[in-house]
Amino acid sequence: MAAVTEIVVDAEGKETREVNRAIKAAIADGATEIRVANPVGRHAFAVALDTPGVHIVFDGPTGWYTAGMNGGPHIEVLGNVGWGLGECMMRGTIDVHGHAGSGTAASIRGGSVFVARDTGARAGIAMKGGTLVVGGDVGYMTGFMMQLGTIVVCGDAADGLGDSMYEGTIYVGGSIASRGADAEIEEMTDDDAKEIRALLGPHEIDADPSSFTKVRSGRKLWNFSTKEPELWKSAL
Amino acid sequence: MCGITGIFYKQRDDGPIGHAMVDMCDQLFRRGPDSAGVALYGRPSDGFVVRVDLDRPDLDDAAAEVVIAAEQATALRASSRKARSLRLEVADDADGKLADLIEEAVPGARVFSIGHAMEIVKDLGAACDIDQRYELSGMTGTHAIGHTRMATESIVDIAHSHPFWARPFPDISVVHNGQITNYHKLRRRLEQKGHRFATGNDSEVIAVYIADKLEAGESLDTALRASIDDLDGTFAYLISTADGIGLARDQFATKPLLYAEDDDMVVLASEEISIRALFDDPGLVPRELQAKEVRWWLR
Repeated sequence: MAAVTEIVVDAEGKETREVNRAIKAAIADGATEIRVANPVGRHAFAVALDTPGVHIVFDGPTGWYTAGMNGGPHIEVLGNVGWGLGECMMRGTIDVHGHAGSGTAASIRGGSVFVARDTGARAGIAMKGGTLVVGGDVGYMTGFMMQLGTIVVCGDAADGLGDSMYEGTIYVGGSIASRGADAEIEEMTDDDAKEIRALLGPHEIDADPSSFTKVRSGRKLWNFSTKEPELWKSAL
Repeated sequence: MCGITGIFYKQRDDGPIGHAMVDMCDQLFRRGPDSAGVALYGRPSDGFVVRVDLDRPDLDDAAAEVVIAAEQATALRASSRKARSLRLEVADDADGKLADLIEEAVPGARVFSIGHAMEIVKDLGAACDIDQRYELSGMTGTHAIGHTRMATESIVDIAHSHPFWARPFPDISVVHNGQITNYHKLRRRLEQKGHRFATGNDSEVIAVYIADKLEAGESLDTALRASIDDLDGTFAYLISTADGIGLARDQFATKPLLYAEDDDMVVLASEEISIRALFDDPGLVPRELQAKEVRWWLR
């Protein structure tokens, strides 16, 4: 029997597990293009999928933990998403055409997440790798305690950017309301500009990399110092 | 967790607010399966509407006793009952004492709301079940707020369900998602000013806190902004008066709150799934509130 390459899963009237099982069954049958109709902001769709080369499209907004623990597919949402988008993702790509809620790309280890418009608070919290690109603004405490990876924000960043980040890099194209504890501004290099260009290119965002601000860890919180108690008081 | 919802019609006096709240709350059932409730606002009348919960098995007798108590305190214009919610229309609120007079006279009677425009109905279970019991869907008006509760700080019962009336201030109610960690301190401070509390639920303190400020002549905007600093803990809340709805989100943006707005109305909810119950236009994009953000819509 010839492999099915394209399939439509209609979420209307189905439980979340039914939808996710239908997606998994389609992948097992060899589908490489899966379209999910009528997601209407419902939660926990397309979680823990680990097959590369599969393209899953949601025909509208989805809710919390969309594409959580993604392990390979390219997942696209033609709308907004709730909080926890792609949390703990290992590899693969996620493209959101609208806005995203809090905790976007939380704790991802690899892969890339793109949000065309704004995100809520704590985008890229505890990132351990991978990339997060945001076309619009990001909310409070974006990059909180990130440990590796790259965040590119084309718009503005709210208060507490990069608070207590250990490692990783945040680039901001717009204004930064305030930086969090131990988040320092570093000078942009040619390599940084190349990296930003490479990350924005696939999303057809035409921004001048030289106008971005680079934020990295000041590394003062790596070790406790009795000589700098004030620094620790300000850290959460 | 808890889910909060709101709807505000910019012009209409007869918007389908009951239907809207039931549909929106049902979409947030998983956020709060313990109980659900709504505060519905119609066009303000010259008298008062009273909603009394009858926590007794002999509902007919309890309702009759409440009617007698109300008649002794003020001029009763009408009364009707759906399940355990008794609705009274009265000429006045006995200088703010009507709720106390009813509750003192009738065992098991709990006044959930008094207002020129406001009616609070709440019960255990899902919004769709409550709609069947109290026929909320048919109610129309100017604006409304709703809640689905997952209890964390106080017991699961009807009195501790949302919305909370800012007793005895007419027409002020609140729905809240979160925890107020300086609840006892705030409550003591407000009690020292003479305010009283009907429950031990931390969310009730928000309603009384805002009502206290409005009574002192502060604007809703000022009161909402002050609450960001004065309330400790996690919160996204909607406060409603006879004129409209205000909202605030805590400094850490812990609890979600979104709104969508067009020329006719504003719809507010914890999740987009609830907003989409009313707005199916994909071109209308809900916006999430940022940390410390306040907003209000008044007529």
